[in-house]
Amino acid sequence: MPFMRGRRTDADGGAEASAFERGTLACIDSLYGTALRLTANPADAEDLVQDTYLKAFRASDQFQPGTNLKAWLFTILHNTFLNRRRRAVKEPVAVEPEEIERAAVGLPGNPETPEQLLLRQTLDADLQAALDALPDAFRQAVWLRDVEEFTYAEIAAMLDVPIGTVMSRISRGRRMLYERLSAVKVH
Amino acid sequence: MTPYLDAEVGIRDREAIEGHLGGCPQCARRAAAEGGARRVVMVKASILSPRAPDALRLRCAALTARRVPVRARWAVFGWRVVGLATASLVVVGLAATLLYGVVTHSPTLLVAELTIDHLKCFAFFESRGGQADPGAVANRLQADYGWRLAIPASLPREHLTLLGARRCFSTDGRVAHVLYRHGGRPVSLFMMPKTTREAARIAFGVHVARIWSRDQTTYVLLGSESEPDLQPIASYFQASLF
Repeated sequence: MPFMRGRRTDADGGAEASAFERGTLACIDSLYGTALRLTANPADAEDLVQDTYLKAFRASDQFQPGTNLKAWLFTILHNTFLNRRRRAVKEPVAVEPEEIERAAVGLPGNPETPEQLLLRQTLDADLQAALDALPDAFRQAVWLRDVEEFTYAEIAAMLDVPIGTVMSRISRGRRMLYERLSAVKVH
Repeated sequence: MTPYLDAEVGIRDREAIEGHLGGCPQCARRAAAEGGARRVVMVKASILSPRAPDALRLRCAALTARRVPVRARWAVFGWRVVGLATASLVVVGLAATLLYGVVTHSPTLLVAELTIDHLKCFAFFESRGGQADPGAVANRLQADYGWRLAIPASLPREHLTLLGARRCFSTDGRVAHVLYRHGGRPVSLFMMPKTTREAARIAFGVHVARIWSRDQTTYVLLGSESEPDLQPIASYFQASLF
């Protein structure tokens, strides 16, 4: 049949295709959440996810069964986002080194550990806002590691940067996030 | 620091790092800060990542419908969601998908597939209130997909309102779908860059379509109105696009 052009039509081929589609659709919540962090706009996030699925299904023959399907989808998502952004006009995002370094100081004189304090006092809305306020590069790295639990190598492949850069961005992103969350608590 | 906090280092390295942290307050504070932020994000990950909207799930699931046998397609997509009640439309929809490989050659089948998109997109499209700005719509299509297209504006004297535009997934996502309301009824203007077709007028169930091409772009105007009611809109689009 024409719409099955290029694909096997035996039972094994059909089962493989169904497993691929089920696997990809199971990632939709993660893809949407990440797209929302990338675009900061629900409508744009939906379009980005839809485009990702279209490209994934068109390129399904390029996916190697047994490898990380979720990482493959996220790579498509990020590439699609970057291609769109290259065509749009964007203002550069400033990164303040001083702000990052201040995060290393910590809270003086508090019996709780910083982690305990943050967990106890951080409101969901504050965390959302603090994440959204991070520079794109740092937010992506922290998100992909701490929320989506990708490895450094997978993140490096998605973002097309060296593994060392991934680690550096994660470190700086976490420090900046701590700084912002701690500043919310002071007020 | 990052691999240590993520438990990605070996035992000997971890012991060495912890030995250093014990004697270096600055590094210890940095570890506490980064570790704290990491932990907060991980604990609250489920809150940070919202569930995808149901409409998005349906649209993405519909993309898989192109890849499964026709019998299963009904269960996967659920045509009742978009209200495809007429038997003729259902039959032609089946014909369009069965003949997917030749849809780009047959104007009737092209209109059949675009009609399905017309119904799907208006069912899922959420107008954000009021009329859209044609310049903003055009800029978005160019920024997102690289298409340089002129978008006809609303026309109050004809009760025509521009709602917005989407990338439609007919013909593998090569179609820009511009949505309007004409006297409250949905009207679609499809634009296919880098394609040329002969002009045609096609009646498809309760829908009528006009096809024309100019400067290597094919346009399809589609609505559920009579031909005479659609004529002023067609004339307006043809005049404003050239």
